Amino acid sequence: MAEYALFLGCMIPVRLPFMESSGRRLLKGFAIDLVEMPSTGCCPDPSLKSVDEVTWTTLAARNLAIAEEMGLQILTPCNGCFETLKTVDSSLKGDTKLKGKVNQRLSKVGREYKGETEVKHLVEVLMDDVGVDRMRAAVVSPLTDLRVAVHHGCHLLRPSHILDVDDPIRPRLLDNLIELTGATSVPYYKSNLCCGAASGNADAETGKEMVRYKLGWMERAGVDCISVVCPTCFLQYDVTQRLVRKDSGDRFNIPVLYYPEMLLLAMGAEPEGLGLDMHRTSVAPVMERIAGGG
Amino acid sequence: MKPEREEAVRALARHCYQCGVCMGSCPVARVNNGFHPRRLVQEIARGEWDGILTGDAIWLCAQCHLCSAMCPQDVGLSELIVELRNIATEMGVDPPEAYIENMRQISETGRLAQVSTPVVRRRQKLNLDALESAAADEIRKLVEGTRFGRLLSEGE
Repeated sequence: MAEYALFLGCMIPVRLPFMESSGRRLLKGFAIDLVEMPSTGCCPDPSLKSVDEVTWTTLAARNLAIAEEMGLQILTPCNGCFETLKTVDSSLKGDTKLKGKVNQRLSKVGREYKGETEVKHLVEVLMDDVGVDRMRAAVVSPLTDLRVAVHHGCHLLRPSHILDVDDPIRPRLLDNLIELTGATSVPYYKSNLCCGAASGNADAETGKEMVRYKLGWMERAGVDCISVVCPTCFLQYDVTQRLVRKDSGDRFNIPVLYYPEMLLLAMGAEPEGLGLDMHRTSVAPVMERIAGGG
Repeated sequence: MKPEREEAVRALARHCYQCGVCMGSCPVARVNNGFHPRRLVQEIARGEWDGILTGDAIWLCAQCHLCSAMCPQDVGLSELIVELRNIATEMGVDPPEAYIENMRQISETGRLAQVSTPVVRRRQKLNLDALESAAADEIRKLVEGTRFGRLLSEGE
């Protein structure tokens, strides 16, 4: 049985707890053991690399050191945490000078980064430890006729020489995961472009405009919902979509689902327990489509 | 700016032959005329720092790294932008307010977002354990005396 130190980050437990519960439930169902990490902090957010790269590296190394103390590899359900932790782990493993500098700082709080852990995203664990065949075999209520726009999220894929999850320009990972649920992954224009959340940090209008373009391309492809594996992408599509909707005469109303929610539904989970009512853009049209068998 | 640091950034930008794939693939440039990646690489290669380091444009980059994935010359523009932002903040340029707010939140609570009452209720409804407090005290010690820490205290 596979066992991981669970690094939840901030956005999932603190703003989107239904993502936490569906992720936990799915992994437990496939006998992946999750061990809670004590006294972690923000990963920290990839944006802070831009403000003070060494401190960003130190705070990430602190989180990595906690997993090392537990003797476990890290599993994270968040793209941002995945990028930060894996990037920092990779730079520290390849740069002894930086590692020395960071460890000198970490000694102030009695911790040390050794370079003994690895960082995995939830979807990698699904693919590598559970496997497509086991997931497909667990599907009892296939999401037939559901047309899905997949959005991998930038920080699952790039920089690819470090993250090494899938093709950084034409990824297929999430398409494959969607198709094993019985749903259809619908190709759409510019599917690999960013959701815009990070640009919203500098200019809210730019971030909003970026997601408006994405929603327009998805709408044109005639999708029933969007599937994501990142809380920041989720917030951008689910919550920022409401703001876009207000500005565009109620035009956009595309439900957003976290991939584990979709797989759980396909595995026969009752929708009531999943907290789908906590999404800001109603998922009712998706549920009707699933219930009506298309 | 230290000459060797400047030279390292410029050396990468000089590989650029201005094909413009960064511009064509950039999701920000598509919606905001204030961000022009191909021109930015040219300005970096020429060392036209003033406008770059004090301007807003470098902060608009979404860090999606698609330009770096597409670039035939491996300029790594998205990574160069991280370095330029670090250089800018070292020179005393303030990052956008949201960055400072995120840093404040992390140093006060250990997390990027505050645990609100509705979320506590939602967690109960979903049968999730109550959240333990994050390790803000250790984080504050690690931030003390750094640029991260200084940016926070200047904002007060």
